[in-house]
Amino acid sequence: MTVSILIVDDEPDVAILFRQQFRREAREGAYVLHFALSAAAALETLATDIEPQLIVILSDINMPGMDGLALLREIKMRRPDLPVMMLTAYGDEERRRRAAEYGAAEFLTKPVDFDFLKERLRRLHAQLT
Amino acid sequence: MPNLSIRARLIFLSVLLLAILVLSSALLIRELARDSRSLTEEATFVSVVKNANSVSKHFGDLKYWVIDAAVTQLARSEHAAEAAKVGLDSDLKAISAVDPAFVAAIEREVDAMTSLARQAGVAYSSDDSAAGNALLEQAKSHVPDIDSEIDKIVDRVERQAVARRDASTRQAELAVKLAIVGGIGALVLALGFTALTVRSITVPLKALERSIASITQGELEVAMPPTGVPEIGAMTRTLGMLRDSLIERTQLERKRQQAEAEMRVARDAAEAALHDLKAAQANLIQAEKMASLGQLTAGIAHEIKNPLNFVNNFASLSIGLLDELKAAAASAFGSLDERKRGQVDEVSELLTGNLERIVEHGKRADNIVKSMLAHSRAGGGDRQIVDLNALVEESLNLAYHGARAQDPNFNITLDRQYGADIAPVELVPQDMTRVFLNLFGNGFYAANERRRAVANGTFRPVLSVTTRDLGKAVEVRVRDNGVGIPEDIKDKLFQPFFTTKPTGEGTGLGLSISYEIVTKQHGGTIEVASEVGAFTEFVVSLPRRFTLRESADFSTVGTKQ
Repeated sequence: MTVSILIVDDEPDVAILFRQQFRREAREGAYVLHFALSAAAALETLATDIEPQLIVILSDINMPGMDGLALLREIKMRRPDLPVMMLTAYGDEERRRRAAEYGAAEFLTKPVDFDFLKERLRRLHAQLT
Repeated sequence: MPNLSIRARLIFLSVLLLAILVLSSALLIRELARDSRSLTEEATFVSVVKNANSVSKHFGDLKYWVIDAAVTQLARSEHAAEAAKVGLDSDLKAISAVDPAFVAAIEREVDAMTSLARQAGVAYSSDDSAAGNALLEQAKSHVPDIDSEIDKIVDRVERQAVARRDASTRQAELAVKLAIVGGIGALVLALGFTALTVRSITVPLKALERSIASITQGELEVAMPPTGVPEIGAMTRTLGMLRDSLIERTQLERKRQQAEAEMRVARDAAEAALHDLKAAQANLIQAEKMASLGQLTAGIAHEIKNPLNFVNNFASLSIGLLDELKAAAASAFGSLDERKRGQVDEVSELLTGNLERIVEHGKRADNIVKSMLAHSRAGGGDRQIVDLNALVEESLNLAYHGARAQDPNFNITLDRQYGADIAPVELVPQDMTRVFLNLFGNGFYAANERRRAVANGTFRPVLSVTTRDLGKAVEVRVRDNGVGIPEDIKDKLFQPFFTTKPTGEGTGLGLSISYEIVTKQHGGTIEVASEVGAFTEFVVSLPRRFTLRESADFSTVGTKQ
């Protein structure tokens, strides 16, 4: 079953990186990747019906405007069951603590360990099907 | 005789001695005069006695010649009788002083007898023998009475003379005794007064002398002798003034010394304060430098972090893509001739190798950037109340096993000197662990470097860790017996990127981050002491400060968090 993943990051190259990393999975029809360049754009995308089913949001923390942690709270208010994984270059205790407090499913530091991320996504996918 | 001057005393004494001399002399003179008087009297008496004796002789002559004249009627006898009468009268006159009445009686008797004898002579001449005889008998009848009276008076005179002589002798003896006693008495009195007078002068003089000697020897608290004698009193007052001025001078000297000491203390305190101020200023400058360097470091890291992530991600992605390319083009490559296929394989191998190198160095850069970011993170962690010894021990074990894992040949003697009863400390455990790991790692490295430098392998590396409770602060000393730190690089130790390790072995950020954590985050100090080829010692001291922040949030952490 194909599922959607929404990636929120203000760096456009992140989309290129993720598309390349998930090229095989996309080709195999496992995931459809969606990108938003800001928290506001992410919330907009979330308001529309995403096809196929959105199973996880990956969000950066340091972003202009609304940051990733604020976005996390927003998402958790609207879709409490939707897992949100935080991706950040700065894995300090304060952010880790707040992410956990707001209900983040995972806290990953950049550079992203894609093997680990793919494993986590695979398990999440398996839980749903 | 108080309050008399020495002159007055001496005059008084002289007068007294003179008086004694005069009195004793007067006494002697009186006695001598008395003696001389009695001697004169005695002499008079001697003549009286002589007269008395010649009275009886003259009376014998008289009675003989009177009777003879009466009988013989001879003129010669008459003359002899007259002469005897004159002698007798003169003798009686001489002794009449002894008993005038008695002498007068004798004279009367003698006159009566003489008169009767004359009448008898007249009768005889008129040849009236009977009348003459009767008258003569009458005259003779007076003779015994007169004889006995003369004897009596002679006897009395003689007795008186003896009595006078005895009295005179006694008087003379008394005078001698009196003279001796008076002389001795006067002498004793004179000596006594002289001694008293001399003593009344010498006693206060001696006291004054003692006081002078005491003052000369520096005993200024000595009492002044009483001022009885005016001259000595004046000297005593002068001495008293001298003593008072000495006391004053001593006090002034003491005050001056005290003031000097106080001045010295104040000067030392001022110098110490200046020194402290300079040290504080140096620390401040260092801290400022460190802080700005830290901020710069963190800022650079922030900016580099994201692009570096892309480099790393795309590099590792490219390795996979290259593998994919090789797999996809394998059949196409297979149709190529031997030489071209070799070329393709070589290039793809080189590309893979390059990408791997990019990934490897990218990871290295990432590690450095992470360390750099630690500068901006300092101050952000959670403070907890922890057992310092447990935290130090945990870090020491981590460091030791980490070093062993990197180099199986690594070995070092760990000397733990943990202070007993160190009260819990409030700190950020993760960050302080990082500091301790850094310090232990550096110590291990330095000690191991020295072991490598000592050729024969006899060197025994030792790292000693000491913890101490200083009351308001705690102290951790990390001392290694390694190569030591040269003086000229000591002030660069805490600068970011300063390292003595070969490229790749150290980032040069360990101590700068430790500095940041200890000073900025914990408000403590970190100091280093070292001697090249002997030791290096880092001293970290952290204030205990429980009061900062909301202490309710802190959880007590034991040996393991």
